[in-house]
Amino acid sequence: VSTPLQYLGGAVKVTRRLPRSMQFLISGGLGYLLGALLLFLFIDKAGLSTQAAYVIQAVVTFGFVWILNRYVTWHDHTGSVASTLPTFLTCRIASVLLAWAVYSLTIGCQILLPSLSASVVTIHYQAANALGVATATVFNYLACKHIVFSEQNRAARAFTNAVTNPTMVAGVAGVIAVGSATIVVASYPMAVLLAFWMLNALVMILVAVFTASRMLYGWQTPERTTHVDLTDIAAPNLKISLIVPARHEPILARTLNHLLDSDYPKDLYEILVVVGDDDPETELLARGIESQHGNVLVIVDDYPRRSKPRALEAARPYCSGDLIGIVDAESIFASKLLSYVNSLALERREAGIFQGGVQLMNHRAQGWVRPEGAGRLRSLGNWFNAGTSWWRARNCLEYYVWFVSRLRYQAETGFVPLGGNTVFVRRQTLEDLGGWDVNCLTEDCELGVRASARGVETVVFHHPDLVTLEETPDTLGALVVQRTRWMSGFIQVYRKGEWRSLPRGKRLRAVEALTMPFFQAYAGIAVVVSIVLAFTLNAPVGLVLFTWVPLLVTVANIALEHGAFKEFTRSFGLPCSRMDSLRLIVSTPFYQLVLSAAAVRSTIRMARGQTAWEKTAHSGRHLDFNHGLGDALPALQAAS
Amino acid sequence: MTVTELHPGDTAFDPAFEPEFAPLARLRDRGRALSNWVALRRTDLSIMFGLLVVCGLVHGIGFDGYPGRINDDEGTYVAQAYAMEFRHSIAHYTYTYDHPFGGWLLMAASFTVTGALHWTSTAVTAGRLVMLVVHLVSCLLMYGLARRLGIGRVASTAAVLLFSLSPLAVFYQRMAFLDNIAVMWLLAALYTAASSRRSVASALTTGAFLAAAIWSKETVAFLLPCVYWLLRQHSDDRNRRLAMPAFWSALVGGVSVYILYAITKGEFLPGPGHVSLVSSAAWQLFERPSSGSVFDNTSGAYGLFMQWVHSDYLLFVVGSLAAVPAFAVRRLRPIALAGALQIIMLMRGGYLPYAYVTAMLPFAALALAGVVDAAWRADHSYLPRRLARSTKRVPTAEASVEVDHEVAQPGARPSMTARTVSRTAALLVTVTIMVLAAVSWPSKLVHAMTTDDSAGSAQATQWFLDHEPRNSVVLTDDNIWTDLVLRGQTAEPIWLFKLDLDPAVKARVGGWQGIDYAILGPLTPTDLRALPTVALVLDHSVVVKSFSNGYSIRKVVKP
Repeated sequence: VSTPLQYLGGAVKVTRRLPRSMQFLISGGLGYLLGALLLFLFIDKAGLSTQAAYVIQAVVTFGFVWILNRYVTWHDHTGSVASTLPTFLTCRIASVLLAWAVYSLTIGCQILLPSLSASVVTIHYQAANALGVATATVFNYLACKHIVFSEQNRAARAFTNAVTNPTMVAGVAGVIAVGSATIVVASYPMAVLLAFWMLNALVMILVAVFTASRMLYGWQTPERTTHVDLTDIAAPNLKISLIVPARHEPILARTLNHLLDSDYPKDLYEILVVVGDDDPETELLARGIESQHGNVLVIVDDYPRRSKPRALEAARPYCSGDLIGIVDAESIFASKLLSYVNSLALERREAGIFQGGVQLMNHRAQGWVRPEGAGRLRSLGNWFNAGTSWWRARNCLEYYVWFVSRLRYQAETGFVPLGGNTVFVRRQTLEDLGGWDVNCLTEDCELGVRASARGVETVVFHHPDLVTLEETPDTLGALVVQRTRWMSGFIQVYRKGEWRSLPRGKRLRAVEALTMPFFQAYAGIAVVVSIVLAFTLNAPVGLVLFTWVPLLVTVANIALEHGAFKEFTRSFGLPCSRMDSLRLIVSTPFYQLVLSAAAVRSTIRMARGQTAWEKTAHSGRHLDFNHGLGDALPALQAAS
Repeated sequence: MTVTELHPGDTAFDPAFEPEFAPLARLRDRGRALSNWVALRRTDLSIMFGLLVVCGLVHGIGFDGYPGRINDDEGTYVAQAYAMEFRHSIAHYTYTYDHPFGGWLLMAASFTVTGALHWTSTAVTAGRLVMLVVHLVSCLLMYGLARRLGIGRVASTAAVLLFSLSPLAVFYQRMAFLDNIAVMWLLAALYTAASSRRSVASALTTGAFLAAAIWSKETVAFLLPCVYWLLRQHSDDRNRRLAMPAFWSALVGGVSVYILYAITKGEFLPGPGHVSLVSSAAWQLFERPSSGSVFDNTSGAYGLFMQWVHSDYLLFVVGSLAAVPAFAVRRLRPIALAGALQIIMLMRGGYLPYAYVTAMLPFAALALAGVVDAAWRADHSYLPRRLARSTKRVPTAEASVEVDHEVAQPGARPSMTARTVSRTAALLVTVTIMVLAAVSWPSKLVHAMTTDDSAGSAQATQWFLDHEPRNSVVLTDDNIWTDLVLRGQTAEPIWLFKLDLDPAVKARVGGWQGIDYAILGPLTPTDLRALPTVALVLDHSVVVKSFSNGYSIRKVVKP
């Protein structure tokens, strides 16, 4: 025979085995039922006023839910009553206000968008309430997890101490802020929504205008497009060390053969291939070439946590050149590049870093083979990921615009987030800067920012004959992974704060350059909302027209990008049909969504502290394309 | 950045990198840059200053008195600008998409900034003051454009003087017409299009200025080919792929805001119970009654045409004809095309707007001055010299070498005889123009600077406000409408055209009995046939007092 207490104990035990979020929901649900019961008792049985009954019910229910959360959901937490109960109640009150704000805003939406709500959805006040409660529930869960029952709140504290507890102070301040915001929102929901959307439109306009102006920099005047003079080449003089970090790269041989094909004298450059000690295939490949050529050196890196900056740092002590260049293992170097860099470095003695262009070449589809034994659904997923190429043209274009224009703008303004390939740094400069940051996901950008902050001048050059050829990521998924890494790296660089030592004007540019990927990702999503609003917003005509402006600027940007794309395909002798143009234009919003997904992904990864290096896989697809470089093509075929 | 001695190992940023009083140094640098800029353009700037003084005096003296209040459109645009400033609406009556509202938006902005409606004697006077500024800006742009077209200083000055001092120009450019504003923006677009920098930014601003011109008066849109041609002539292979989309984006983006405005208001497509952009445009394009042919001496178009010829045959006839030889000079071709297009539109028949000639004048002046200048220099179909210096890069990997721009190489120099003939012709034409101008212009300009034909309208308004009740309903023209409203007429006056043509007004006033007074200038029988209710008001009213220029105040006698 079991007593009711034993039943309860059993129930608690069973509940504790559920996921914590589920336990939290059950506690909340029980709290709601208790509240309903108390309301019934107080109002119908005891005859209390509805308001008084509500307040008493709320206090009792909050206490009850706190008990459940403290002893069931977070039973492993050792915080005292004094430390958890006040913070818990504060958070609860904040959540009530939050629910009210969401409720008011949702109702406000309906008034603001009459045509939308009439034709698509009618927002019932119950639905608005449900949305408010849902928001409050999520808020409460996060608050319990990260504030009330967090590690910091574990130590037992007297209630008086709770007043001086920073968490508590922050909580109260938060409640006041949320509370006053709620009052404003509940009083003027439409004005708040309108103000929000106008602000949103303004941000989008700024993003679009900044994007456009930076994009146009390289083409602003005809003279600016021709800054490389290939006829004026100095005699070989400087020694150049090229570092090639390679990791599971079957196409390494091709890369190295290209480097060895350079028109620069063999005794004036060395190639340092860095392979991991867990990658014997690549090492074997590299050793084969090392044995045939005197200027190739293979370095085996045994550092446990692999990354590109780690590999670069491993090779740095072996570099003997005046200039140290970085070559990605899958890229094709132009044969004239080293000669040009030599002349540039001799001519521009004041400059410490020389950045060349990198260009993705495969703007069209590659063949797709249905995976063996895959079902229809898996095949479809695989096809979407690996078989579709709608995004490749945009990807190629991004590189073109970045190296022809954006990076040169950055060099002009003295703040250069460097690229990771075809970068040449004077060895002395690199030593003075202290080498690469092995913990950074975008060590290239980081080095550039550090150099800019310390006044090192960077020269950016771009010419179709000097560009390093690369390929787009193999799959759409790989693109997202790559972007995630870049964006995470930008956050790292931003947080590291080297840019803060720049003079004021440049500091602003630094913030712009480092945060722009996120704003672009945001604008990508927001522009869709803006279109809906432009058609449905019930507001003064002037304000509605204002929500149209971001869209107009975006369309203008697409027109400009199309012009740049035409030039890109022409410069490299690539085919460009109407279909390519159409695909470039139509893919814009979807590509934006991909970037937005990467932004969200990188934010989450950074929030979770995941900073491991995710490598992009390469298959050497640009092999199949005649990219117009007459001298490179036979070499390519020989290499493959 | 000027790092001569590089110590990248220094972790701290070197504070000496930025001068101590950076703002002051920057200011000094800017001052130096400005004085350099001025020094380089001393001659041109002096000429422009002189032109401003001369044109400003001729256009400014007596600007309110002549022409008289002969065209109601002036009053309409000013009233609409008034409605923008004080009532925050596009027009003082239902906006019918007759013209885009950029023109009177500019007027309203100037009124708001200067408070002109409060201190000028009449509202139209304030509008004409804006026109004076617009004209002076246009003169500067004309000079700059002429110089950028490779026309010499003397001929450029002559072009501006032709454009400004022609009696036809004084007559039309003084009136508060949208065409004047549109021409100013159009000249700005051409000026930026002809920029020798050939930058993407100048293509972008060209598009934006052309959009502003179309926003001011939609009819200039048909000059788009000329602007495009000029921009194309002054563009470069190396950045054209970006410059042209920039031009189109700014143009289409700017103009589309007008269409979006109509869409937002639910007034784009025709529908019951509201005005619409499409139906207004269809009416303007297809249904508007033709003014007849300029070759038919009984038509309205012929009358207007002859009025222009009599006003100034020099600029109107000789200048327009100069478009033909101007086609021979490569750099003048877009200008010639603009002149030719407008002549074709004039000959074509259809509706001929009163101020149609306004947009012809700058091109006539530029073509005439440009052709004489080219003849004097015996320089045919060559590019401006600065374009001849340009280099061209073919940005392909195979052939990316710097090649000299061979296109611009001048041909063989003309023979001595050809030069002599050419120079003699230029001299002869110049002398003829000067004689013709000396014979026909002075008396007309003196008349324009001394006559007050606007007195009747202003006196009638003032007398009415002094002697008649403020709460009476007045039927009047738009020139007087704004003055009555501004000076405290409590009952809203009725604009005579709306009494018959606006259903809302017709319903509110309810026929001639709803009117108490009429303050009107001379009306033609054609007007009265189109406005039967106004004719009834005249039939049922007696003259209270008459004023000069045919103005009178009438009181409606009700049964």
